[in-house]
Amino acid sequence: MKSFLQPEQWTMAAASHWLLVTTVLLSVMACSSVPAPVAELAAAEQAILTAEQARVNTYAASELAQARQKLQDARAAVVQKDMLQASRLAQQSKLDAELALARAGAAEALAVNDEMKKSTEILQQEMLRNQTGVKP
Amino acid sequence: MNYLKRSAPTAVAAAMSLMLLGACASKPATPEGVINARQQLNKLQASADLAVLAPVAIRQADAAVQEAEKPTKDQALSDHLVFIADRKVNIAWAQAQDKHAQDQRKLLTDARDAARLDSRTREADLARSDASVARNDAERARDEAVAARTAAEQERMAAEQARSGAEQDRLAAEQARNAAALSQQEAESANAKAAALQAQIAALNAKTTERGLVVTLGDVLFDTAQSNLKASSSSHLANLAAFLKSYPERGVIIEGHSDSVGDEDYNFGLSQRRADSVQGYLLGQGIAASRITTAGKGESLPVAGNDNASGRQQNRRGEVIITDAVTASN
Repeated sequence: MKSFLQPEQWTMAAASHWLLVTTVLLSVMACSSVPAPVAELAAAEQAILTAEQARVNTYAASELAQARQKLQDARAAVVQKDMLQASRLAQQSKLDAELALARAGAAEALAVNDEMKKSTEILQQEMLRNQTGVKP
Repeated sequence: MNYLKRSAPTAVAAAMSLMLLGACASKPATPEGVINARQQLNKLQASADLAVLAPVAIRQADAAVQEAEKPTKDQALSDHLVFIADRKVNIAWAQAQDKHAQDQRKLLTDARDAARLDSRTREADLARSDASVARNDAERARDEAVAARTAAEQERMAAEQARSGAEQDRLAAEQARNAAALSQQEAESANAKAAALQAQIAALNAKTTERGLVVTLGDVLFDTAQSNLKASSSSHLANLAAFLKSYPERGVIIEGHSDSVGDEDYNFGLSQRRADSVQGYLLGQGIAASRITTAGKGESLPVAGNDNASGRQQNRRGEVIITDAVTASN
């Protein structure tokens, strides 16, 4: 799981998340036979982190917020020892984060294209103006 | 085989229970929520230019949708699978759109580069045209400057000529003034000379006749039958000599006359000698011989009767005719 994170990407927030997850898992494992969805939770966490680093907030803020909410709900489910629900919420959180990333990428690409179209149009307009004899 | 033999009764029981379940429970329906996901996925797959751009995401979305489409009684599981299917379909869409936008960027870049090139070309043309206009302007300005310089030069020359003309006029006026002054001086001088001449002529007792100025030298100059000048006559002749010195352009004709007493030939010779005697005097006073002509007239030209002494005295005379010029000696 650690391999998903580069050492320099460690932050206090991430460390505290990991600590919380680990504590919850240990306590659950100690008194229950059903294992906590460790992998799903970690994957969701990683997906959110990736999206955050891609500055998704600009283009897909609501999807990212939903992903964070789902992760929080998943952790709450672990505490409630509802591991099935925790696993599903973690999976959904991960997909929300991935959707945020994908939509942000598309939005950014379209924005870049729009910018290029505008600049091309401006050039063409300038050219038309120049052709009518008005000096720039 | 052992497993089969041992579990055969169990399998039979299970089959029976399944049949029972199928008989008394309604058949689980396909979850409604997945219908939308399926439609979205179909739309993406039907889109020829988008479908090829996100093949992996579409395959995963397809699998998720199929999973969600499986009928189940577990509502929570169904909701979960529908959610997953929905998200995966949306992710596939977003990825395809992202890729499509990136693919289009190549065309946009080409279009922008073309527009930029056109613009630059246009600018360059404009700049060239501007430069050409500026060059023409400069040439025109240079021509105008040359023309202006030429005109200024011509004006300068005209002014120079005018100045020179004015100078010439001034000089001419000066000359005219000088000439006028000179002629006035000459006129004054001539007047003065004329006045002096008149004075001297008066002193000589000269008479103006059609032959010119005639000074009559009476017989007081000569004794009877003598040609030598009397000493008393020298002052009278001195006036004549002075006159001739003052007017060197004038000449004299000296004529000798006699009365009718005695032989005519003798009288003629006597009159000639008397004229020569006056000439001799004038020569002695420095008057050039070329200015003096002498003629003996004898008794041929009397001015009074010879029958009394007074008349004869008047006829014994010398006449000096003052001519205007030396050459006019006759």
